[in-house]
Amino acid sequence: MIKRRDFLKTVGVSGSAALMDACTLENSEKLVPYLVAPEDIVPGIPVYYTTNCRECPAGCGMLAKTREGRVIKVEGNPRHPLGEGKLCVRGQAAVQSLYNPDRFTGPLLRNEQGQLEPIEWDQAEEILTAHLTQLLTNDKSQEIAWIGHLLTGSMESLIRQWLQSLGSEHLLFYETFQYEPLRQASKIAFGHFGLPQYHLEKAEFLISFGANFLETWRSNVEFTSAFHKMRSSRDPNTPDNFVYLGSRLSLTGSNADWWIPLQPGTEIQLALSIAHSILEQGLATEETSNQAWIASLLAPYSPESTKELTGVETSTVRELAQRLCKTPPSLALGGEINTSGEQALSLELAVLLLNAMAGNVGQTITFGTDFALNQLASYQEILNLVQEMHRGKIDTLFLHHGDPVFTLPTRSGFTEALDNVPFVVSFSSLPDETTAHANLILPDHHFLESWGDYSPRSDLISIQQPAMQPVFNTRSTADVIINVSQKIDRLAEQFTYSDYSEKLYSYWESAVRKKSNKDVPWEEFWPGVLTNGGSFRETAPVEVTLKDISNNLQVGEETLVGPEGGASLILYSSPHFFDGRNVNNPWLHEIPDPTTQLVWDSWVEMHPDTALQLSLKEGDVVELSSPYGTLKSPVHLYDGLHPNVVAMPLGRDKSADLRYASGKSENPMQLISPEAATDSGSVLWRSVRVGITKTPDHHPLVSLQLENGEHPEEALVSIQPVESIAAAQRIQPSELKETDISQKAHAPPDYYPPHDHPDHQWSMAIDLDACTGCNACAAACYAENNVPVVGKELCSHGREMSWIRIERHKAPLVQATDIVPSDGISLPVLCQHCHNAPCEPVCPVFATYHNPEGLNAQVYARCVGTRYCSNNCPYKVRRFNWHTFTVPEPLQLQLNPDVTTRTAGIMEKCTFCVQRIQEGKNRARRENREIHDGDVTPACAQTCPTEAIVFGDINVPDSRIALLAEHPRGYHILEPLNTRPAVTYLKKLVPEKAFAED
Amino acid sequence: MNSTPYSPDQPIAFNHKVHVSDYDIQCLYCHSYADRSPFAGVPSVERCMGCHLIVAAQTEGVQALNGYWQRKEPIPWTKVNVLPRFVHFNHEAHVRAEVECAECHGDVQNMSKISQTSSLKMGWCLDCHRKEEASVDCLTCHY
Repeated sequence: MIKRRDFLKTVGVSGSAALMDACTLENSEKLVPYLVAPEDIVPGIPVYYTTNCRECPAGCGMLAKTREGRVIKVEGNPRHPLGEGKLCVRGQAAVQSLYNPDRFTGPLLRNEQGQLEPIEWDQAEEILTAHLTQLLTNDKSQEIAWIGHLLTGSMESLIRQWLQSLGSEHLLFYETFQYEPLRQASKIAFGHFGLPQYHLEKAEFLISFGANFLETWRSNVEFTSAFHKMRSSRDPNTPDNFVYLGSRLSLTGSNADWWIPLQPGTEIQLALSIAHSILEQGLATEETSNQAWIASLLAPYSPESTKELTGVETSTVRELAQRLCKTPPSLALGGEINTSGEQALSLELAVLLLNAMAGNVGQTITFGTDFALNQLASYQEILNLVQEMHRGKIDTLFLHHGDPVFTLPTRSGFTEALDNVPFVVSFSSLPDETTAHANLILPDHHFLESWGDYSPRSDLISIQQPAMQPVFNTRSTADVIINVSQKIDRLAEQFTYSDYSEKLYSYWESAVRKKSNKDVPWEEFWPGVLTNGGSFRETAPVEVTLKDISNNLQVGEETLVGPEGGASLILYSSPHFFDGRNVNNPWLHEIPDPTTQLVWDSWVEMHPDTALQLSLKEGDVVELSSPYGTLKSPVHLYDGLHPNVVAMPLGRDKSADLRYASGKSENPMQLISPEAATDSGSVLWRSVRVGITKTPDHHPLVSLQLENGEHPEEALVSIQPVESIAAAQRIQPSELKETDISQKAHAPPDYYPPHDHPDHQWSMAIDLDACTGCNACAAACYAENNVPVVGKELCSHGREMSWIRIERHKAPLVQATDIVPSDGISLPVLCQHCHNAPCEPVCPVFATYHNPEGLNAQVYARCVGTRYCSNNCPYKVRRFNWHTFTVPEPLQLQLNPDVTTRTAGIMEKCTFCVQRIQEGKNRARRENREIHDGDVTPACAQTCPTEAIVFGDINVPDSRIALLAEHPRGYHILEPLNTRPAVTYLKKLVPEKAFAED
Repeated sequence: MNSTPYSPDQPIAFNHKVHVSDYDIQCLYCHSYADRSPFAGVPSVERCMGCHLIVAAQTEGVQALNGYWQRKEPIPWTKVNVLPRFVHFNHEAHVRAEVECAECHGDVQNMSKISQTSSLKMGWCLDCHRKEEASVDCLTCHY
């Protein structure tokens, strides 16, 4: 029997034992050394590798930041001409493709029950070897076909060599957006097949026929940066130098000064009437003004006669003609998928004609640089192969990246044809709609894991270095091909490389060094390539002359098939998901879509007036039906659409087994015509009218745009009429602040004395005239700061965690006239690091305070989660962790080890990337010097393609930030609250006069 | 701080005294990242074997070491000086500021078995930071 006293003793002892255990447990963290320390890695110090981004065919230069052998962040490569150190939102999110939890973990074979079964690599290669050997024996190797994403350089050379030695002639490079009309139009108009090179930075005036060059069109980072150069040097007297024409106001469109909302299909008439007006007003270049064919071609398109169809006033057309010609050079950009119907080629021809007449050829538009995109097969060629597949003429199909089942028009018959191919091999690394039909899946490495090269255009070739060991049991496609070939007698002699890197070196030696740098020995050349990220050279433009295009120009009313009275359907490529290739990257879902501010989901956009007629509200599910298919989608009301149009984004959802794609939204490619354009062979992106039927369902869409209820919009976004810039530049900043800004903080003194910042005072400036709202900063912040993703449900409760958001502000668009101010302002909002921060005095535990360097600090370990700070923050930039957010493996490998991950109950917010400030100080200390202006760049500022965000120490007198903080356009958001933010915004410049005012 | 310093058993009974006092090996020879990284680093098994392939090869500890080397396994040392995850301590900054290793790690050269001699609590850090007029701002370590 235990006495009471003994019992207590026992309990006491075991209690303390338990306590000791807990202590030991906490302390028994392991310290595991390397077995053999890698020479080039110092734990705690990042190593950067130059490589190149393959998220889209643009191919921007990239730096992969690795820590302890894993990639934690990607940034642009400042030495690379494409991007010049910047990346877009998709590039920033590339690390989530790398660590994607749904990637194939190894090779798979479809068994007799139709299930995919994991196999070993040796076995996989044996199966492929046996299959190919048999084809060769049976003399059926011409029945091999390859459809893959765009390749250049050594990989292209390897694949061509391989298919050729196998005896196959079916090699098709296929990307969803192929630019067939533009490639053809250049050939017809200037005798140069392929894409022209544009020089936006040199243009004094820009007009875009639906080309969304700030989003996904061709090379968006390059164009965004060039666009900024063009905008920042514009003449204050004609500051409205960008006009966007199209049926949908895209992100690019909302960066224009003016928008001409067009009835779809009338773009070409408008282009020709502008050309007519150029001729009529005697503004055309000498060479074009006296060409008889131009005069007779344009004769029917006087602004008066096209007005009825286009709805554009003659005065507007005349003004456009003048702006294009009076201050040369200007630039007109051709169409995109949203303008690409049966007359797409003719529209491109008309736009090239405009450029020729305005004297832009040789100035802002040049030929002579060959683009990789020129190699793409046309959609018609894909259809030809589909025919062969249907007819049983293809035995083996290799699919190398891309998801044609998803991205080709559904009715093209590709899917059915695919099932008619006995042996389908996919090199895809992520499940998609196409891999669902594959017999053998040989997952390729991610581009951050493998060697490669890519030459987006003939004046540059980038190197792609493996920045880390593969995350999964994947194998580079090139190595698979080499391995397999070595086991096939007929091929073995030609493929003697030990692995792909050997092929790559020999290619760079023979095709790059010997051609462009033959005086530099290999030993010097190669390290230079690795340091710079590639080999770059200048190409001289070639002279071109305009040819008679009249016979190729088909102008008429665009035929759309579909129910009478239905709306024209336009599809657009999603700025976040391109064609759906990165649909499983959660950051891209949680960062709001730039134009709609919606997160997750997919939708159909409809003009509010159209919706009213159909009694539809936001989120009501409608059935859209075209002659080719039917789908259901929730409605999003958007006034940036022509009322006769409905628009759908591509690629926001897939039905494959991917955890971040819900599979609930159907693919809009079901609705469009499977035919190819007869002249250019392009997909007829705009080919149908859709009938709209209301269904009883409702699917709430989640928008993260805050309502402005409490704060009047003008307190948030401030604009400056452009006519006053010239004047503003002459006024002293102090005078301007006194006289020109109506909303001000109250004059000092304040109740509390101002803070002292003896050493540094970190500050930021954001130029709203430069910000295009591209969201690259937001993705960079997610990557750098371990910001959690919360999902749609929590977003709908306003519990998203983003530290920087881009608010959209625009006046309601009234399409009462032919040309309207697009008036869009993108306002990046992050912690303002106020000097009188409302969050600080309300924190009961002193977890948030103003630090001696001007930062509003948030100490996680102190925070007890009262949320008083967030309630008191007028900018709503503080984020509370309602849960401890975790990520599925292996996404945790991406986490930045320099930033603490937060747990439930803790408040967090922008820190001005304090870890980078500390790193900058350490670097300065290591180099025995003071920290310089430019030593510290937060992730958001680092990636901004327009350098709209500038960061620095305002205590350094002539630093960029010190100058910008005193800029005549500078203001603070919600200034009357007297919070005295460390972030200065520069007002956006907007035109004051009407477009065609005399 | 507990009266008996924290000194967990290690997978190999490594003796700092022998290495540092008897054979005069500098701290940075083994903890080679301390002057160039936030982390001091523990020597790779290869580095240990660099000497012990020959030196004292027959002793019990070195035989255990050799076992790890032969099995190609890293040694799972138990960490003695543990900081919470929300503290970003930087060895390099302290070495550059000429703080002696012993100021935080104690008289390691005379320890046959390594133990924790400083509390590593924030007050203990700040004591020194105040004395040396180093930064006492929270964001120096907490972010």
